[in-house]
Amino acid sequence: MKAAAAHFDGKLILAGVAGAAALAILGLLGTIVWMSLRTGVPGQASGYTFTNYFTLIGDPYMYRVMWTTLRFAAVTIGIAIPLGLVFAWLIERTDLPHKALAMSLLGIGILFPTFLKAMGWVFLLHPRIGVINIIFMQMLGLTAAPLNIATVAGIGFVEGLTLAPLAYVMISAALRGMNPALVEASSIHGVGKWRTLLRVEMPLIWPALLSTVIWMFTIALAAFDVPGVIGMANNIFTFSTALYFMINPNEGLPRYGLSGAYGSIMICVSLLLMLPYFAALRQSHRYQIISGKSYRASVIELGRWRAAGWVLIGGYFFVAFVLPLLAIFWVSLLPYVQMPSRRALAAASFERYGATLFDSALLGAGWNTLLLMVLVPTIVVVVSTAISWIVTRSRLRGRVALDAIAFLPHPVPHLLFALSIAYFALLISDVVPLYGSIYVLIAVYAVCWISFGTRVLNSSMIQVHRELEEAAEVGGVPTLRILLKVIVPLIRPGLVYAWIWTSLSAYRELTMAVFLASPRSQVLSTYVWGQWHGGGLGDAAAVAIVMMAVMSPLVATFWIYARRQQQVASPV
Amino acid sequence: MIEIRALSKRFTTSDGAVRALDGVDLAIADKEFFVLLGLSGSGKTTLLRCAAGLEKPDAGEILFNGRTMSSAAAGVFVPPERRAIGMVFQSYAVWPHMTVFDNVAFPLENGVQRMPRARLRERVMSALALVQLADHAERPVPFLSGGQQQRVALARAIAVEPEVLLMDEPLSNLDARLREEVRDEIRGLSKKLGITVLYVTHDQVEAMALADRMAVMSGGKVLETGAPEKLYHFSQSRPVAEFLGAMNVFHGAVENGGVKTAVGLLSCALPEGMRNEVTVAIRPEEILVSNSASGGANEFPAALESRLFLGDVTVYHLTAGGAKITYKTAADPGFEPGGRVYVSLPAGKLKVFAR
Ligand SMILES: Nc1ncnc2c1ncn2[C@@H]1O[C@H](COP(=O)(O)OP(=O)(O)OP(=O)(O)O)[C@@H](O)[C@H]1O
Ligand SMILES: [Mg+2]
Repeated sequence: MKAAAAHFDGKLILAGVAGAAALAILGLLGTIVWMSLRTGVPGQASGYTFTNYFTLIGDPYMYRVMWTTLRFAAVTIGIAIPLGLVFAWLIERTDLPHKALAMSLLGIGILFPTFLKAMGWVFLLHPRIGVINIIFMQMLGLTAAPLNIATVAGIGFVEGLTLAPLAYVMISAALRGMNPALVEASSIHGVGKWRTLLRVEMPLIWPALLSTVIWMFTIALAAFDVPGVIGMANNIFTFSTALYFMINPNEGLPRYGLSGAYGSIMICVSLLLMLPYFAALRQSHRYQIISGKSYRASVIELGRWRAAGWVLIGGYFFVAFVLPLLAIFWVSLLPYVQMPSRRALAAASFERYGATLFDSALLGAGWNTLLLMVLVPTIVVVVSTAISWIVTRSRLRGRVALDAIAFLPHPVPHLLFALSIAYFALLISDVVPLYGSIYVLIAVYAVCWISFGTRVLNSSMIQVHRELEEAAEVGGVPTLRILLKVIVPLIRPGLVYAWIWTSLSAYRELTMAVFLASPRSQVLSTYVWGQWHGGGLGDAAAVAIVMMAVMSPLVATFWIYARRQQQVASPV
Repeated sequence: MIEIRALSKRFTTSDGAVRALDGVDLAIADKEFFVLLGLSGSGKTTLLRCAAGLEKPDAGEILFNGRTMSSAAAGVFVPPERRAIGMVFQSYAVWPHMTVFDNVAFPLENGVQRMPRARLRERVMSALALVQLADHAERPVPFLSGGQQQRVALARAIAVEPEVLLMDEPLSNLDARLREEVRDEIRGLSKKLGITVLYVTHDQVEAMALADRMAVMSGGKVLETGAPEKLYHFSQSRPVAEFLGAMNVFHGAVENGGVKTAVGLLSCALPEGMRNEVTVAIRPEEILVSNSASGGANEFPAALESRLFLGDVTVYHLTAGGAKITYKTAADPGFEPGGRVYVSLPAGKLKVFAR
């Protein structure tokens, strides 16, 4: 009977862990709705009311924000999707040389922090300090800057450039999985390659494209980095930055009730968007084959256009990654922002690095970041393992619901989870003084990335044959031990992949950190953010460069590992 | 030893409920090698998994040695590890991250039967010796051939010294030649160890080669149970007889103690209660064919349509009175297609089924 008890306990522990995570997710979302029905500051007595919603609906500012957000999203999609489509097509369907290199150039860009790239674009295209603008003005004798990044189109452009690799990953997954027979049936009957592309492939890829567009749209709705770095200082507010502003107003009290109403609407919108998203995804899966063999459709020969293909990919990498990085580096070397010139070059030095890097606040932020990078992925991996086991392996009732709940943080903007946990921590701050501590960040990061962890581990666990587990079950090996000694070793690549990815994400995360960081719980990204908005552009640039440098070996390790495990296509 | 009574199991899938088992009754004797045979989807695996305790039946009972293992009515369900079973899976299910030794040792180290190190080693090695893998104990399993991996799975199942060994198509992933070899080893081993075996397959040759007795399943029901010879020659139902081997069938009507068919009037022993429409069947190798008429009963002239040489046997296709007849023989008489011959259908071999 002892063994039977162990059997039972193991499942109970797993169910407990998974249940706690599900409760946390639902609890945090519920808190947003609850907030929206109350007024005043957290903890203050308040009746339940719809006032906040009425205020929101009656506020013309909100409609301006909505319009800005829609335009921002449209530009983002307009940049990211065509680029992603062309990249996917070049890499999956043509004889472009050095594809591995091309994939690396596209993939590595995703991993570096978006807000740093946004900073680079300010240095390049700001009407006053943008290097490119100044060059144009001097060369053409203009009196006003020809280009302005601090516009809706500008931030959409930067966001679109950063999202293009993700669009590429999503579209190329669809292209790769598409049943080649569908395409070849056309070629065999003498239909030309280009005509097949237009008449057969494009219609077949359409659902996948649509699902990618919807996904990009939800990301644009939630995007904080680019609108926060470029837009906010220039009075351009999208949904996410407007929400930030409600909680961190220049004057007056944080308006939690209003932000709750606002957040509740965002939750509804992002969940509603999942309906067409999954519908499109299901449609595109119908055109796919599941086959173990890598059976490939024949490729289109680019001929003279090969060079053009590489110009496009190389050009993208240069513009989206190298150029902003160079701009940041340049600014970090100078005492104040100025044009590249012989005089400026003479003034350039690494002095700033020495001065800023040993700032005790920065060291503290570095330590906190390290803590997040170790603890968050560990929690995510452990909790996701429990959830994925229950979802894919057990027959517990409610496992489908559990899977759906674990998915929720994926479409719902993360900043809402941050807002919610901030409110919750304030509520209980008299009892448990968590507000403003690093633990709040750890908790909310973990909750949000469980959706990523469970996606990766679900697919890893499905691949482990059920009989491998049953063979141990028949011998009476307790559940937890089966999990640890049979399943975990077999899904190790997935676990490592999820761990490193989450760790990198913890390093680059700005959105949630900005909502929650207090002087006690600064992290590197919020430190840069603080410098940036405090006017210390040069210092921010120097720390940014150091952040990138520190991150590079981690990114390289991750990339090599992910490629070896063929898990490049991350469902970010 | 194993008693299964009125066992039912249904699965609910996205497109409705499937009756995987629909009132199965079986009694398997002690030390018997019992085979479940049936087409894909007939419920064999489900039955085996119910016996293992990996699946919980909706209705009915399973008893091992008189002990109730599962009874839906009484609410009894003994978990797999307390049923004293060993199980060999279709996919082998050997753990790829362990060595041969560890694969066999793992359930003994971590399961219900924990034992001291020395005894464990002895147990594992003797199980490996039984399947001739003692020399490979320290090899990681991915370096073994398919047949060897299958034997690891077998060693792991018998190392726990089970009273019942359950096997689900253990040979289906092996190639034909190896399959026969391992098949004979499995039977030899089970007899040597003297354990009760419940074995699932969809291959009738494999089933007949292994079974002391077998059950033919279809649509979640057991159609017929019996020794292979009995089922092959004297099956009560046409689906069972046809599943076990090819048949020539003639539809006809009962008429003066015989059956009137397309080939002619067949005289045969009519089972009790057969009236009107019946089907008469005979296996291709039970037919007699010769160049000249012998004047015996059930003899008809036939035309030789074609000849198929298969090595150990030769198959002829004939027509008699518009009916097609297949004749199979090991001693090739060397008839030429196009010729005329005489077919006789021995009355003792004719099987009559109601229609
Ligand atoms: N876990 C399950 N969920 C839903 N339906 C199932 C499940 N397992 C089996 N079935 C269904 O029950 C029926 C019997 O399945 P079972 O696996 O027992 O057949 P089988 O005789 O072993 O077939 P095969 O020779 O293909 O292995 C099938 O219709 C199958 O689709
Ligand atoms: Mg089966």
